[in-house]
Amino acid sequence: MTGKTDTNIKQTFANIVTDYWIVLVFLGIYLVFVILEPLCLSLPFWGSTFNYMAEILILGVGVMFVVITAGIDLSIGPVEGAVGVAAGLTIRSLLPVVGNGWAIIAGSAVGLLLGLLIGFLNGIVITKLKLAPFIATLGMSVILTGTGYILNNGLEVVGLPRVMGKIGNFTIMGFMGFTTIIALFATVVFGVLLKQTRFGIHTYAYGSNAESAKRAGIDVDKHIIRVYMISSGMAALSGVLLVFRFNTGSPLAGANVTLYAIAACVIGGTSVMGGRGRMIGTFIGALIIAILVTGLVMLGVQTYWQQVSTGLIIIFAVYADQIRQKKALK
Amino acid sequence: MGEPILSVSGVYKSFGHVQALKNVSFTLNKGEVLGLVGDNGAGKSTFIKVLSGVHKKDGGSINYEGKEVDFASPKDAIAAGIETVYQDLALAPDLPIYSNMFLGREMVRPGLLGKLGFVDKQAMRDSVLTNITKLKATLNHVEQEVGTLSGGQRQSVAITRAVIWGKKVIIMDEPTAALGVEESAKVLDIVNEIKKHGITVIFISHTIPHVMEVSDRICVLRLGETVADLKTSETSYEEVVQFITGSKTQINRK
Amino acid sequence: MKKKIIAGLLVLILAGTFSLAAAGAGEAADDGTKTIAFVQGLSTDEFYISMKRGVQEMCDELGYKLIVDGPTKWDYTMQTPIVETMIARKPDLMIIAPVHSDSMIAPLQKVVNAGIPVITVDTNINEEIYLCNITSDNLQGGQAAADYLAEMLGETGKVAIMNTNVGVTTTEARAKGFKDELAAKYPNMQIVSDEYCEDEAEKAASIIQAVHLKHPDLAGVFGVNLYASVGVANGLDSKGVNIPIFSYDASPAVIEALAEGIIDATVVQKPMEIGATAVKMASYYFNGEEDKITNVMVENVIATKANMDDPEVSKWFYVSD
Ligand SMILES: Nc1ncnc2c1ncn2[C@@H]1O[C@H](COP(=O)(O)OP(=O)(O)OP(=O)(O)O)[C@@H](O)[C@H]1O
Ligand SMILES: [Mg+2]
Repeated sequence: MTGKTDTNIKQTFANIVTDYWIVLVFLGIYLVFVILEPLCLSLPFWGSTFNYMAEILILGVGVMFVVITAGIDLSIGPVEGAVGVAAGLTIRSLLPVVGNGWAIIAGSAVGLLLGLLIGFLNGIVITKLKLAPFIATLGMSVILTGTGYILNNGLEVVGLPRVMGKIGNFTIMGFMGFTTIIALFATVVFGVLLKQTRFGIHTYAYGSNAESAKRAGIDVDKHIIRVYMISSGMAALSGVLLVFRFNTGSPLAGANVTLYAIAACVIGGTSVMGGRGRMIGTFIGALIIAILVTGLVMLGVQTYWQQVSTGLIIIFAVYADQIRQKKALK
Repeated sequence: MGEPILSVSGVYKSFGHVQALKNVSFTLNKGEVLGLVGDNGAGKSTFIKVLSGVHKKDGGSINYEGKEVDFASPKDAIAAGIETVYQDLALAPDLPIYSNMFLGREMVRPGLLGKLGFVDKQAMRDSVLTNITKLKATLNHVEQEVGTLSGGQRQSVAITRAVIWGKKVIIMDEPTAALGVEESAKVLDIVNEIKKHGITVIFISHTIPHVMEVSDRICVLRLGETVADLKTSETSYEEVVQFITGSKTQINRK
Repeated sequence: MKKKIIAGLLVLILAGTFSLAAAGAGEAADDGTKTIAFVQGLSTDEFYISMKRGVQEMCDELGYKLIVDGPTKWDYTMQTPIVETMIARKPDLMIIAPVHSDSMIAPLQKVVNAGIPVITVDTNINEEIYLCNITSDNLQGGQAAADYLAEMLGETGKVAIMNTNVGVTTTEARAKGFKDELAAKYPNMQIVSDEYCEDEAEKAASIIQAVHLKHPDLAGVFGVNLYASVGVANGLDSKGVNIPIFSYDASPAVIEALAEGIIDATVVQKPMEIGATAVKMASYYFNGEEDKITNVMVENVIATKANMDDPEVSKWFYVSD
């Protein structure tokens, strides 16, 4: 009897280790930082880590849906930039006409709608023209980078109302920023969407076997279009939040963050072959990428080591996932 | 006997230069079991994919329940009450058994949550468990991912799914291909069982004795053409094989 | 089918590029008016936009025709084809801000071989095939920032550098000038952090928060460009920390940040003067006064909230069109 319970516990523990090993990786990294620099235990350290994580997480949450369908969205970073510029320009041009409040609301709405529209176009190109997601979104990202420049000659949009900065830099409990709060909220909402709804199940089903999903009577084209709208819409949200935070619409925003967002998903166990991935994993993935920056800064190490270590962890994560899958298939 | 539910005539279909179907014709009455046989590449799977909305036919006519139909997508066929066990099974390996069985028609929670698309996992699990037990399928755990099942178990999932949902017609494309003796016998039992409920079945198999055992009629395809439309009671194993191999040809004997 | 669409798109893009290039071919005037080609380092940067204005104004004054182009990215693989197109347009002289000291030698050698003399501005190339170089050295700008920050802090205290990307020559030179100057002149000042934010303000914000956590007595920060300094300001501001933050350049966004007290000072280069001087040198060449051609180092100025309204300072602020 006890023997049986023992093996059960062992089994459960083994499951936790294989399912949540990335949490252990995170804890391991954090432990090393704490040992070398006890200040890493402090709330402000978590604050700055979360603040950097927020952008990657918001993008990661959105693009994760795409990755689960075995697709990829390379346009999320450029969406951030183009949306920031478009929102900034809208706000600035409406300011004299309708005043701060309405200009800000209208600009944010224009930014978010632009994001949804771009996602819709990505989806159309992928489902109707049948281009591979890689090509479609690569094309879109080049178009958007150009558009970001065309809209304002490649310059930052300045002269936005200061009140935006007040909202964008609002913090609670002295360490959690506005963007962080929204990122965590979005993680929970989209985590529930993925896990508890038909939409989520269909997303996994399509990534697992697109043809099967279609034969089960799912309107797969419509679904894929929506998935790309989520990805692009979240990127737009992030772009608008950056405008709030820095009082500037910058075409350069998001130049580097696309790959970090996809990396957060992959580190968190989302399979680029589609069909698998958990929201909690993406959260941990984004957290690892962020803590590698803030932690290494605390240790006085140049942050380009963060890029090296993030790269290593991606390879490690995907390898571990393969091993796990092979084991599962045995 | 009975009223015709499905009447197919002159259906053809090409993939580029490959003419997969040249002339498929047969009539099937409600509640009958049709055995669809033919050599590899004869066009059996292609035909049932046309019937289930996966492929669009290039020509010919399909009359279903007295109406001319041309399903644009699997969704339409499903809506018309036609369920299919595909030869490749069409399952999502990363999803658990119960999700696969409810794919595309998940049960939702009552009230507002349901309107928002929240699924009722417990209800789906319970329902699947009941059906598995009823069909005596060897599936132990409805949470198990389909990708980790044995080939035969996967086939059981696909069959159970079709049986749960099939309202009028159930198509089975080589449902016993991966099954052992005992399991195959179970499938034949299942076919007999659904027939009792007045559901029409199209049963594809290379195991002619199985076909002879469960079918009311047998339609033989050869190189994309119907070469024989037979009453099972009026034919023999040898004759069917002769039609399949082409050593005997015949215009329909009704 | 897929392949056809992709191929179609590629053809369209290529055709577009060629027709643009062809449209520009042989634009040089044949009525004796001299034509100057100006190749920017980054066409979307206010620094080069301002430089273009300086070049344009001096060309108008001296009666030269001007053709301008520049890459939208700081990248020699993008600047090289622009240089080659310019050769085809047969200008009498080329003024260029090379984006790389070594990689741009070969393309510029082609220009010289085509009989078009070259004047380099801003960055220089490591081979003396140019008439002269007009610059306000980034190294010197970094030094100026170090001197001014040292003065503000009483020549003592911990400071940090926020850099952008590894290997970008201009920003690396600013950081190096800053570091070398502190090391050489101010023994009581210490650089406690030297990080890269990849041009992402939000990353700079989190990095500087971590630096400040480790060094609560941090006394000042030098951000090598807009994104670095604005990010630093954001990160420190949200922790209620108020220490001097230096930036670089005088684009409208930086000046806005300066006016609002987000940053405290910025190193202002004089791109308009650099551009005008380069055209002056071109005129010496055209007039055969070759003895007057010389390298010029244009001094930087430091703008602060206190002096930014002084026309002697504000006239150097960059323009955006
Ligand atoms: N999508 C397709 N594209 C091109 N050719 C196809 C396609 N599907 C089927 N075919 C061709 O059509 C013909 C009929 O194939 P089908 O799968 O219908 O045969 P089958 O009777 O089901 O054979 P089996 O008993 O081996 O399953 C074959 O020659 C096959 O190669
Ligand atoms: Mg087949």
